Amino acid sequence: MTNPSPLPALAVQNLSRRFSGVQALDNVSFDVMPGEVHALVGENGAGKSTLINMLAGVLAPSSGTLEVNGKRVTFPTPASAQRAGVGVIFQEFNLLPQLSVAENIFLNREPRRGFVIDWPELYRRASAVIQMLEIDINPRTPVQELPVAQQQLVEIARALSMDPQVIIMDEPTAALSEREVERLLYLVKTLAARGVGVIYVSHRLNEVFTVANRITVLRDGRHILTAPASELTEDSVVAAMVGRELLHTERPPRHPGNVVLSVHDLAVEDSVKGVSFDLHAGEVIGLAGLMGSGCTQVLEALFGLRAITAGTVMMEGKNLNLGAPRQAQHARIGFVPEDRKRAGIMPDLSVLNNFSIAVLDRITQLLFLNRRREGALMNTYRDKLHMRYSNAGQLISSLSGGNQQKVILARSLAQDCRVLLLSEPTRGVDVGAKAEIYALIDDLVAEGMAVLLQSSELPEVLRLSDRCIVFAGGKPQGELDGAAMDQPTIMHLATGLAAESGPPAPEIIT
Amino acid sequence: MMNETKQILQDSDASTLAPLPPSATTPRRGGLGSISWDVVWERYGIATILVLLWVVAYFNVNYFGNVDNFAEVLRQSSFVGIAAVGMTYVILMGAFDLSVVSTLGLCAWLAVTLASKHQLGLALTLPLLVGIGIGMLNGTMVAYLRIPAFIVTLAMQFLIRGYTFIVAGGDNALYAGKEYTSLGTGFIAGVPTPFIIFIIVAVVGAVVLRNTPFGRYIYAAGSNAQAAQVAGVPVKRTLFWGFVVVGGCTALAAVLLGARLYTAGPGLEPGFELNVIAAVVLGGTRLSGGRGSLIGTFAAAILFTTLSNVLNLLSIDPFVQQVVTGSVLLIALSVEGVRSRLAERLNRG
Amino acid sequence: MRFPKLNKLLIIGATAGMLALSGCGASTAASSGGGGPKTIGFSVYDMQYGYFQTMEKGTHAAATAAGYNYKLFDEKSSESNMVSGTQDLLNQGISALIISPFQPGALGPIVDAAHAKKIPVVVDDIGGGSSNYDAIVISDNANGGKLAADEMDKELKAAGKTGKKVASITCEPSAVYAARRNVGFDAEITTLGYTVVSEVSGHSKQEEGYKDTQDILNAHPDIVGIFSCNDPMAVGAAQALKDAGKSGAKDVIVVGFNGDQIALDAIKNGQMAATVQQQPDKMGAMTVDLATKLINKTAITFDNPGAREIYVPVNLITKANLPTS
Repeated sequence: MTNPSPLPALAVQNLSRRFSGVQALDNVSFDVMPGEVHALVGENGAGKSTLINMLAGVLAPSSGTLEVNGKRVTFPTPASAQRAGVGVIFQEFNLLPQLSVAENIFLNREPRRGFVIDWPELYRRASAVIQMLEIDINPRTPVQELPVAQQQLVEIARALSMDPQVIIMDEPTAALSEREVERLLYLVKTLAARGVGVIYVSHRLNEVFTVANRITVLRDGRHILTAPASELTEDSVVAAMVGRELLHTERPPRHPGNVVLSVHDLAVEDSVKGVSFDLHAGEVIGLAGLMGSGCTQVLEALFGLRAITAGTVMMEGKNLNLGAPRQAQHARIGFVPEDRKRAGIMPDLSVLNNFSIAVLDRITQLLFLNRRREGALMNTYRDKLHMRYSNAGQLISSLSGGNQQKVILARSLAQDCRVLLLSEPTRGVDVGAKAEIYALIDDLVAEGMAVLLQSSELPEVLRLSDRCIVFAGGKPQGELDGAAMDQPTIMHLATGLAAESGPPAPEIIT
Repeated sequence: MMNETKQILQDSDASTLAPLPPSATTPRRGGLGSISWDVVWERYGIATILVLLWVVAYFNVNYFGNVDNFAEVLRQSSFVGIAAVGMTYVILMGAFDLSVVSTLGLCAWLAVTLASKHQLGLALTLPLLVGIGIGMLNGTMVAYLRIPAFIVTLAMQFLIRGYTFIVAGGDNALYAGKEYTSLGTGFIAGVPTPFIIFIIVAVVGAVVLRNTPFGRYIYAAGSNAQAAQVAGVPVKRTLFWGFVVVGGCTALAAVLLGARLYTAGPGLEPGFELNVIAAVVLGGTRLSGGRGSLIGTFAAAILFTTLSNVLNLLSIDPFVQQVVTGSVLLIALSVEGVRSRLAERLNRG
Repeated sequence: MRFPKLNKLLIIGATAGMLALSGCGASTAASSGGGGPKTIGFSVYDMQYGYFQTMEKGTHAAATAAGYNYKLFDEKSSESNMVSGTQDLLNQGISALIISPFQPGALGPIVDAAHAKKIPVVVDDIGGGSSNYDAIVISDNANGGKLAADEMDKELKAAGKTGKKVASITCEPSAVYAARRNVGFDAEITTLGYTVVSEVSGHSKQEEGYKDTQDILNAHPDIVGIFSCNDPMAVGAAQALKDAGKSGAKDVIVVGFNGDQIALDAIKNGQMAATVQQQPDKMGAMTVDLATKLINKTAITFDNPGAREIYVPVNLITKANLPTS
C-alpha cells in the first residue's frame, strides 16, 4: 500500500455525542488514509451507528472535530457531508425502486439541458461509473428488478459518482450470499486501490480480516484500539469488542434419550422430497445446505407454514397433522424463524407482548389477561435467557438483534415445546450474544430438548449439531456424524458433487 | 455479561440509528426507560387538543359552554363514535370497512320500521344481528377468501344500499313514539343517552383491546401479520372477528341514530364511512395497522363534532366550514410526519 | 428532554391556531344574545341548489328588514346534519326557527326540542312530516293547477280546438303537496267542460313522462291537453308528442309545474305551452312574517287550518312572459 498523500483522507478527533444524558460516543479519535481500508468493529451499541451518522451529517456531534484531507469540516446536513467528499452506504438502501439505475445514481444531480434532464448524458455517465466498478448492470433497468446484491452495487455506484475522498460502508454484506460477498470484498479493495479511503463496518470478522489494512475497535462508545490487521487475530479483536476473552466453547457431551420427532419420507410442496430422520430428546440435528437446498422448507413445513405433500410426521408415536402453526404449537413444536424482521418480531409491540403472544391462553382468566402472571412468566424467561432490556414495556424494535432473538426463543420455550426448530438462530446477532445463544441451546438440550437446526454458517452447524443432514436440490444427500462431520465433507455433499460423481446418496439410517 | 450502562447505551443507540433520509424511516421510540413521549403523544395527543379546543371555545364562543349545547355535541359525536370504535379494530389490522354507511342505513331503517310497528324488542335486537351478519360476510370474504377489504366493503356498500332501497321502497321509515326515540334524544342523569352508550362501547372496546387475547392478536396481526402467524396468532380468525365488531358497532349506532332522527332510510348519512375512518385515523391509529388506541378514536370523534359545532355557532359560511374541516384533518395527519422531522432537527441541535 | 420540549411547541402552536380561529368569530358572536334584537334561525335544505339560494335570500332580506338578527345553517342534504345543526341554532337563543327540512320525517326531534325551549317552528316547503310544527308555508299548489287549467282552456280556444279530452300526469304518490296540483287542475278543467281521460303517475321522472304520454296517445289519439305535476315529466311529454309528429304547444297543450330551466327552454322553443312557477323568495319572506306573528303571539289565519298551512301564490309562465335570461 502506497500513501500518495501524508494527510489522512478523513480524521476524526475527540468526537463525542450525548443523548439525553447518555454518552453514546465518548472522545473517539481515528483516521483513514487515502487508499486504506479501515475496519470499524464493535458490538451492537458500541457507538458505530452514532459515529457513522455523524460522519454522514445525520447527527451533530456534541464535541470533537472532523478533517477531510487536513481541512476542518462540519456537516450540518447530509448534503454537506457529500460535498465534502464523504459518501455513506447505509445498511438500509435509500434507492427509489421505480427509477432506473442511472436515475438513482444521479438522483438530484441529473445532467440537464435547460430544464429537462439530458437523458443520453445521464446514461453515458452512469455507464462510466458502472464500468469503474467492473460490474455488469444495465443503467436503464429499474432498481426494483435487480437482486439485493446488485441494488447494493447501485448504492456504491452512487457514492462513487460523487467522487468521494472516503466511502463508509455499514454492514455491506448483511444481505449477501457468499459469492456476492467475495465480489464485494474484491470491489472494496479496488476502490481503495484508486486512492479512496474506505471505512468498513461489519460484524463479520473473517471479512474484516480479508479486506482491512487497519482495524479500530469501539466498545461502550469508547475507542479501544486501532492497529494494523496484521498485528491482530480474530480472537484478540473479539476480546477487545466484548471486553473479555470469549471462551471458545466446545459442544458438550450429549445424552440423547427417546425418539421425540419421527419424520418419514417427507415431501414439502414441490421443493423437497424424501426426508426421513428420527430426532431424539437431548439431541441436535443440523440441516446443512446451500441457499435453496430445501433445509429451510423442511423446518417451515414441520411448523405448519408450508404444505406437506407426502410422508408422515410423528410426535412421540402419534401422527401429526400440521396445517398451521397453531397445530404445531399444540404438538409442542417451537420455531425460531430465519428472518427475524419479516417473520419473527412484531415491531410495534412491546417486548412483553411479543413474548406472551403465543401463550395468552395460559395467562387468561375468565376471558381477561392476568398481567401479573404474564409479567412473572416474562421475568422467568428474562432470567433464564439473560435477556437485557430496561423495561418489558419497551418496543421490541428498540432491542439489539441478540435480545430480539432471545425474546423469540423465549416465546417458543414458554409453550413448553419438546422440539425446537431453529432457523439461522444467530443471524444478525453480535459475537457476545452468539456465544450466549450457543450456551443456551446447550443447556436446553441438556435438559432434554430436541433441536432441529438449520444454518448457513457451517461452523455453527458443526458447533451445535450431534448429527448433520446435508441437503442439495431439495433432497438429502447424506447424514454425517462424529469425525465424518467436517466442513469439506459437508461442502462436498452440499454442492452435489457426491451425487454426480459417486453412487446415490446413502440411505439415511435412523 | 454486560453491565447496566452498556444496556442503556444499546437502547439509545438503537433508537437514534436513523439512515437517510428521515422520511424513509419509521417513527421510532423516543425516550429511554419506561416513558416514551412518542407513545404518550400517540395515546393522549388528540385528547389534549380536544380539551384545549374546549377551553378556548368556552371562553371565546358564545353559547358553546351552555349545558344544552355541550350535551348536543356529546350526543352528536356518539353515532360516528360508536361505529369508529368498531372501525378501530379493523384499521388496527391494516384493513377498513367502507360498507358501514349502508349498514347504518339498513339497520336504522329496520329499527325505525320495527319500532313503528310497536315491536320495540325486535327494533333493538334485529338490527344488531343484521349488522353482525354483515360483518361476518365482510370478514369471510376478506379474511378467508382473501379478497382485498377495499373491494369487498365497497361492493357491500352498494349491495346493502341497493337492497335497502328495494325493501324500503325508497321511502323513509317514520316513528315518533317516545319509548324508542328517547334512546336517541333522551338523557340519563343529565347525560345524553347515546353518549352514555358511546362511553360504554368505548370502555368495553378498550378493555377488550388491552386485556384480552383477542385484543393482543389484533395488534400483533396489524404490526406484522406474518410474524403473528408464526407466533401462532390465528390471523384470519382475528380479522374475521374484527369485521364482526365493526358491523355490530355500526348497527348499534344505527339503532341510536334512528331514535335520534325519528326516521331513517337507505340514503342515511352519505359519507358516514369516511367520517368514521377519519375519526379513527385522526385518533392516531395508523392506517397500516399495529398502532393506535381507542382513547384517540374516542377523543377524535368528539373533536370532529366539537369543531363543526363551533363553526356553526360562529356562523361560518357552510363552504368555509368544509375547508376548515378538511384542513384540520390534513394538518392533524401530517403532524406525525412533521413531528418526527422536528424530533430529528432537535436531535441535531 | 427533547420530547417534552417538542410537545410544548406543538401545544402552543395548536392553541395559537385555535385562538386565531375563534378570535375571528368572537366579534360576531358577542353582539347576539342579551336584550338586543331578537334572532331568527333558518335551517336550509341545501345551499347548492338555486331554488334554496333564492329562498334563503328572501328569508334573509325579510328578517333583516324586520330588524332581526339572522343565523343560517345549511343541512347539506343530510338528515343527521339537519337535526344536529338545527339543534345548534336552537341552543343559540333564537326566538323562532324557520326550516326547509331535507327530511321532513326528522322534523320530529327538532320540533320537540324547539317547543321544549318555547321556540316556534315555521316549516318552509318540502313537508312537515308528522311533526307538531307551528306553521308551514307552501306554494298554492291547487291554485297552480287551476291556473294551468285556465291557460290550457284559453290556448285551446284560441287555436279553435274543439276536443275535450285531457290527461293529467302525477308525481310519486308520496308527494302529498304536489298531488294537490293535479287535484286543482282536474277540478278546474272539469268545470270548464273537459274530461280527464287519463291520470297516471310518472314518478317525477322525465323518461316516465315520455312513456306515459306515448301510452296516452295510443289510447286517446284525440287528446288535446296534458298537465304534468312537474317540469321534467312535462318535457318528457312534449318529447313524446314531438316523436309522434305533434307539437306540445299547438296540437296538444302541455303545461308543467316548477319553472325549471328545461321547461323554460322548451316553452321558448315552442315544444310546450306553459309552466307554473313557484316563488321561493316570497315563501321565505312569508316564513319571517309568520315567525313574527308566532313570537308576538298574534293570531294567524291559515289557508288550511287543519294542517296549519299558508299558501304562497304561484305564477303562470308562457311564451308571452318568459323571464329574459
